[in-house]
Amino acid sequence: MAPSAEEILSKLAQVMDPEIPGLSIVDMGMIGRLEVGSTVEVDLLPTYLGCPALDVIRRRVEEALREYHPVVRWSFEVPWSSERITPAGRAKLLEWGVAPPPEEGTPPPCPLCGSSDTEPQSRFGPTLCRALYYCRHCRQPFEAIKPM
Amino acid sequence: MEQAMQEALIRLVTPIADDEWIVGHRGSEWLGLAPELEEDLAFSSIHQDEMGHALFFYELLHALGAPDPDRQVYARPAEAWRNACFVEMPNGDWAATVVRRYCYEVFDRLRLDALTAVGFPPLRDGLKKIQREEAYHLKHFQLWMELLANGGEEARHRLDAALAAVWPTLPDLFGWGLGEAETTALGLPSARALKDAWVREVRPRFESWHLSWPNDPPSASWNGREGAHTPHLSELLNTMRAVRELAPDAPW
Repeated sequence: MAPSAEEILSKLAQVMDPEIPGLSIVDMGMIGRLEVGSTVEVDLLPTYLGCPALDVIRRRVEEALREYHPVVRWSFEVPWSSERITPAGRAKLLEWGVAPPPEEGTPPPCPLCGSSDTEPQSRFGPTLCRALYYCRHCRQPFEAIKPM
Repeated sequence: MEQAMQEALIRLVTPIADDEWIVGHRGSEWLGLAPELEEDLAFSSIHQDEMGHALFFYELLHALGAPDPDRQVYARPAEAWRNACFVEMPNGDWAATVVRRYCYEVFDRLRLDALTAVGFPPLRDGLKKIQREEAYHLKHFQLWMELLANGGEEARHRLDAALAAVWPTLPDLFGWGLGEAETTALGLPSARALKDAWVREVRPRFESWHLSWPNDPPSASWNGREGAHTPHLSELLNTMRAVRELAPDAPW
């Protein structure tokens, strides 16, 4: 019997982003087209083309869906955007201490103390998808997911 | 797809893939040496992006019948590369790097915009992604130009010296590496039009930074788009391949 789409999605929700513990590729909005029928086909949307985790993520998806012999590929038909991060994903980012993607040009509130008295430091952070900010209130540097 | 179209696409995409790869490699030479820690982070992100873009283009080329990405990067002799000599030049100091990268990023944005006219869906899909990422690169180098232009006497002095050194290497950047008829048939602007658009974008910026506009560079004896490179490319390729060539058959 063919699996249901919910079944596949719940398995995909177990595949974590290797650079952000606790955040799944479903939370990140990286699932594009999902075909569940006589075959299971998953299109993954890369957050960044140069992301070094792409191979690892694809292997983890193939592993998670092993019993269905899935066809997993990276797709560029729909460009990933930071708006695809789900509300649950945004909440998990905050919990981890990284600000969810702010509006372009507006510094995000500090994920540590909640103050809006923050300023940008660099558009580039420790991974391709993050930027650096500074909180003037709690005097801590912090990271945010770049709006993309 | 017709064979002629396939070949035209290979000729169109190869110089772009090669530009991005060589820019990525030159950028990686700054790692650990950039002027500040944040800049090291920025440079690693930016050049990881560029190499990701190159890989996307090499995979596209492979799907069109060209050799696979590893062969393109590790097994091609210098004269088979189609990157502009402009991007293979040694980095020089920080100011020279900033000037070269700013010039390249403006050109790259215009080139990506122009490419959206080419009716080849896999290319168009990748462009949508690449354009979003490149917007960050252009902003970054624009900011650095501004910082150097307003950064006091030494910064200014180095910026002027960098402009004098980098400007004469510009000529082959603007070429597509295609014949005129082919360029038009693909819906692309001529190299001339591309360069004019570049000048329209860069010149007012120079004015706002109080930089005098250098004279048009004389034509150069090299042209990377035709495979006529400077010795710097062979040096770069030798360095890039040194480790792999210690054990060419080893699995990585």
